[in-house]
Amino acid sequence: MISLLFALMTIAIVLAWRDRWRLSYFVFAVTLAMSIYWLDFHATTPLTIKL
Amino acid sequence: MIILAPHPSRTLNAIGLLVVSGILIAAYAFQFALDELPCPLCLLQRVALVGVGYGLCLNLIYGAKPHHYGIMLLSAVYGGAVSTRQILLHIVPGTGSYGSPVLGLHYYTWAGICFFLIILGTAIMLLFEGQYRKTLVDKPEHGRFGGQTLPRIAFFIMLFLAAANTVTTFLECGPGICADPPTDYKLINELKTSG
Repeated sequence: MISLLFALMTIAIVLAWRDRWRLSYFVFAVTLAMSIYWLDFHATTPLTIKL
Repeated sequence: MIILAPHPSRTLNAIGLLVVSGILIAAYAFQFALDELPCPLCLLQRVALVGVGYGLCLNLIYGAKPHHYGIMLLSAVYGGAVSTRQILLHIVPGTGSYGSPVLGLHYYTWAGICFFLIILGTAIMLLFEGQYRKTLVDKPEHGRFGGQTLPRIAFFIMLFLAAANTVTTFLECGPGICADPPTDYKLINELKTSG
């Protein structure tokens, strides 16, 4: 799913380049929200290291 | 008010974008040269770097604006949070580390330093109000990037790196959740076993 974040960032950059800046900002905002979700997911999964 | 004209501001932003691209290229170099797969938190730090790159790209295309710098700050704070989480994960003695050290520090520590410097650099750039003025180079006949070559080159390098990370991350993680820690390129292995 992290590849989707990169894909959305790529789309946001392309949209900005094509002068679709409102849509570009929206895609960026969605990506940031999803990134926070994945940070929470990976930060709260059980640790694989020995403590 | 501190003066910085739009033209040098765009050049500075292009240099900043090349530096951010350089960090992503270095990450790729370590990934392929040392055969070290990026962990999920490492990948999220790369996402944050691309987010910073997105803010810089906006400055190159449309000219410098405070909300473009805001986008950079949001991305850098997010990246800083991810790298801090990973530093804290390994801060207790005996808990090991992830990846090889570079000049004595691990990748996530370097990433934390980079995000701190990005926040500092962005805050400094925000001080220069003269860059927000419209000038002759921002007229439509000059096209995007203010008619400059360096911003154009920097933009397409970042676009390429964002697309390349989409592909390599998809090969590593597949469409599902990334393995923590990753052991191989999941999608390539699945294709090999099925074929």
